[in-house]
Amino acid sequence: MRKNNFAIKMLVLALTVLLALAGCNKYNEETTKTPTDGKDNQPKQTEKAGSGNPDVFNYATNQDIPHLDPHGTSSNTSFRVTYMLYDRLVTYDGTDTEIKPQLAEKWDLPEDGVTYTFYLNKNAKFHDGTPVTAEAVKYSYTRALKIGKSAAGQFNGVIDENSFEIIDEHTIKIKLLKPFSPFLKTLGTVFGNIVNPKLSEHEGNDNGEAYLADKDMGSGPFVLDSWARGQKLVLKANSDYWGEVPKLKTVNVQIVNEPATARLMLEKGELDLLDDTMLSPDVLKQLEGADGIEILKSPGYAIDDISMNIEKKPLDNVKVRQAIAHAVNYDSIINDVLLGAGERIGGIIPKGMFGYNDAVKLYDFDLEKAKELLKEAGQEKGFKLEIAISENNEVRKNIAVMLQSDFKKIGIDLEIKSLAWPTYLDLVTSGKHQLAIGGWTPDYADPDYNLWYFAHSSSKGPGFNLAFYDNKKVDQLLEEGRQTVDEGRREEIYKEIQAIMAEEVPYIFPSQRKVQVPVRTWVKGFEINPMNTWYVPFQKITKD
Amino acid sequence: MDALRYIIKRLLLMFPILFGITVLTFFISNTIPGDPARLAAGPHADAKVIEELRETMGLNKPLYVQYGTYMNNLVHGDFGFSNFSHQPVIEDIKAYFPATLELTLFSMFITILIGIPFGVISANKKDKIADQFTRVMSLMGVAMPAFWLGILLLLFFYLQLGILPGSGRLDTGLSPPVTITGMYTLDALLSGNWTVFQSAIIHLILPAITQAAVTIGMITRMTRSSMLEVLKSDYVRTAYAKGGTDTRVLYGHALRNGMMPILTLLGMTFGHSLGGSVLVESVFSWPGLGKYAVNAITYLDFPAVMAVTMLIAILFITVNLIIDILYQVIDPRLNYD
Amino acid sequence: MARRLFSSPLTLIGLFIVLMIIVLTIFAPWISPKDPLEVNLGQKLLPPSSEHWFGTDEVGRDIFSRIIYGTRISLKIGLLVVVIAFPVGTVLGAIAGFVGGVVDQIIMRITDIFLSFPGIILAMSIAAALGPSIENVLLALAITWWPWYTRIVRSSVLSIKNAEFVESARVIGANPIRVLFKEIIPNSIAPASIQASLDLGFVILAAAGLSFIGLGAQPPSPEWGAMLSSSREILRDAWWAATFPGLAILVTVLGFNLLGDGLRDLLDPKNR
Repeated sequence: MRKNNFAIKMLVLALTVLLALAGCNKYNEETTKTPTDGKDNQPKQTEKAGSGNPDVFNYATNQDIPHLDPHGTSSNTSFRVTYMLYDRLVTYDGTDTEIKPQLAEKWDLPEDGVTYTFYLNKNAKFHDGTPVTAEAVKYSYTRALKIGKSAAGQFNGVIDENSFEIIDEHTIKIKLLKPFSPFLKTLGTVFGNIVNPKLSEHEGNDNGEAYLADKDMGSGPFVLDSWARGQKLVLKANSDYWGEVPKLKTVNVQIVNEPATARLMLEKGELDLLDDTMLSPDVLKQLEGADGIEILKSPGYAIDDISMNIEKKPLDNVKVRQAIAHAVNYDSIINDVLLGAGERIGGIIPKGMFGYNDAVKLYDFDLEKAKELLKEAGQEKGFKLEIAISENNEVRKNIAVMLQSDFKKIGIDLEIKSLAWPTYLDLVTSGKHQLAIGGWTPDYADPDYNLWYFAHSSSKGPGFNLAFYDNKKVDQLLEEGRQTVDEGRREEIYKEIQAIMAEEVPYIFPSQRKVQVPVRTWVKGFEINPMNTWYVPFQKITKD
Repeated sequence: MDALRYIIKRLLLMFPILFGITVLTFFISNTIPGDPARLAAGPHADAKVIEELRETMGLNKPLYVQYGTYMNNLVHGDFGFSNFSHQPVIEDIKAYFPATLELTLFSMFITILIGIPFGVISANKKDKIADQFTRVMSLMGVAMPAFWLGILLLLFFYLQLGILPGSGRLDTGLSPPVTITGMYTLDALLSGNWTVFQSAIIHLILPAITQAAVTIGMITRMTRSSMLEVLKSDYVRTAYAKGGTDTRVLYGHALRNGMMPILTLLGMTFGHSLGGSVLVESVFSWPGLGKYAVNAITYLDFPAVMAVTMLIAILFITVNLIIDILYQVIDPRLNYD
Repeated sequence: MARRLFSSPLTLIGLFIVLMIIVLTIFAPWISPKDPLEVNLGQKLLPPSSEHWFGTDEVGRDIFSRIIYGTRISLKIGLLVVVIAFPVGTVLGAIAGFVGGVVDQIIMRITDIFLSFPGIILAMSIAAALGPSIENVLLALAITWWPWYTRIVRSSVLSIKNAEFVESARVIGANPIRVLFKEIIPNSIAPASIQASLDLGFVILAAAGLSFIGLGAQPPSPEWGAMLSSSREILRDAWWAATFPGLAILVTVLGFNLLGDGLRDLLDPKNR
């Protein structure tokens, strides 16, 4: 074989180089070496896996982080980071969906129905050392309104630039334009983040959006250390935090696009926690009981919904919609697709939330009944329907495939369209769809939030009333609910709306999801909020 | 002088091509349904805000006016502003392109290292076992869905053996080297950071092999067929007759003479690889241009789409121009047409 | 010629694979044991058994039957793309080479535009504009594929343009269009047709890649790339769900390549 020895030599050489380099690093071992103790600034290999290092936390998500402006972003991956960099007047703590004080140590509820007074914590200071003042609160909310993007959705029609009255450095009065009972709850969402008013020096002509896109001007428990776009964002604990200083010194938010890869990295201990939406129930089931991995389960307020566009024939006929509701195999979705990580629900208010109506009509899976209803509607000959789903969501795809197979039995020929998110969004908000599968998690736990979006006629299309549902009675009730202070009366109102909608079925709700998060067993103190899974409380998490 | 005239002519020809590309991209991407302003504003933004955004983004003007504005800015060196990342598109490109370039260079290196010897062996041993073996091996690389291959490599080298890393460009604990070229290996070398260099190299191995799998097959095939032709020629016989060793004749004479079609193909594949491979980038979480492009289209980030398309086209054309010029070096008998 | 063909075992294997795919395509309904679309969630992710040879997928469909029906989709895409791209590319290439001058310049620059246009951006735009479907994948692939034939044909035309038989046709005053279609194209088409036979495999692979990222076949279509995509997460636990679609793509592409290479060795006079 002398003849080929040049080629062989080259191959051997190449392989040797590769293996030699590879051999320098063992990716298998869960290193037991102790972490570097600060006397050596050179990063050490031991820090890499993070598994032996209680100070470093490795978190993975599969979606890119677009930018970090808390008022300009509507991206969930950005929320996670901005929640850590910034503080809000009030916050949601642990698994509780009621607000707790954060920057505001106390507040006075309005006597006139519209004027709130907030007393700020005097210790709170921004990352540059300047105190958090009433001015900062005013500046932040006004900025959110001026930018007008997602954040403003919470404030529009509720407050405007004249709503603020600065009493003293740490006291501010906010006067609403009209009574809005969930107001305090909105202040705990990511859009209520308080930004350092020094940002005004960098505003330019875009309210500082471009400037703040990759910077941190908050007062939160973590500070932004570095950000390699598309790869990794590093948060460092804010050692001067005015509240409780986080135990973790470093949090690496890694972008691992492929769930299959992320799962391997979790198994290796190279990641400590995965984004809760990343893995499908099938994989989670496989990971259950895997060495060193735990699937945290907790109640969730996320709801799967199928909207039926009532402006499209034959979905305008309530009998047809009821027939479809009878053709959904709810048990199979919950048991076979979600593998038990969900429960049956009758409306858009999740079980466990204020205003939930447990007595609404539930449609059972009954194909005979469905056929009967179709006959009554004069549709016994069957028809074609399209269902839109957004791509890269295994669960929704499997639900759609299942519906397709069951609908066939009652004569409905269901065609599945899986679309990229923006295309999907355009289709459903412009009302060109027939059926669409979506999901919904409230930003704060008030029935007004879910119901206004899903049922008020002013929310049709872009407002996320994707069934284009229009019922004067429901509109009236919703408007009354917003202005009612009495919680008992509000509960009645919301229960009544749910009952009406259960009869008219503009939407079908296949399930309310349980939150399932895969973590390494050494992760402690991760409390999952049912409502806000984008809020990962890194400041409370420890590793041992 | 001929050569210079030729190069200038080719460079000038780039302009109509680039112009065509901008027109094509602009109008194709604008047929995509969806409102960029709505996406930029996010859900729950009210109609007034969206309308204002449409105005500032210039979306209310007729398409040809939008195109004119874009081209005017472009001529002044302004690639526009990304509504996804809230920063100038050029900054995004600076962040994502070096990763792709680095991966492509590395995978091209592997391709040449394996593909050409495979092709030479294959041709020299035509229809023998060695030929069958190299051909099947290289074809397997081509035929294997890249994504599947990537995951299998991960399962084996990362999960089972644990000798290669699973994702990203560097170990989590390491910070990127000082940005000089944006390519971590090179920057680490230039700044003398051995730890980072090592980490950057081993992170390159699996993605580069996965990406090279396809190109190796193509180069092997081209080398084989080019060599088969050359091996029959007189000068190869003469060289053997003069007592040249196999290695010398094959790699010294024959390969040199059969190099042109191989180079052309290398140029083509290199040009294409620079566009980034979404599948490879996804499996290995490689922050490259392919993923960036997909994201840009998904979020109707048209300035980003335009910039990526133009960048890829320019690179493709340039690489091919260089290859054509190399022809001249290898074979001066060629005339320019 | 036949003897030469059969003398190469690899070509034979390629031929066998391609024939097998054609047989599976035609007789799919008779060969597959189950309905490829029948959902049975009670039987999801079962390992291979005598009941389900290749196991079942995430909604309990029989993978063996899906793979067999998948040959129909893959072969259809491969053939249609080549059938669209080949004539377009060939005619344009022949005209460019034959006419030369400004026409040549214009055609070749347009070709360059399409060659240097990133395929993924084109495919995604088409999918986004016209909706994701296998037909639109076909369109996207055909648009990216024709320039390659134009290039190949143009260079072979240039090499025979001044050959004797073309000259003589010209001398006797034949209509140039007639010369183009009667003399030039038939005599310069061989390298491009070999490329086309190889391309069948590559097109199938490219289509699987696009379906993999969700641009192509829509559920519940048993397209191999889509099957591979939906089983990727559970690849480690339900190995069969990803392995068989992966192998199907591998074997098919390999088959077309081996056959194409064999044909090249056989037909290309340079390699004799």
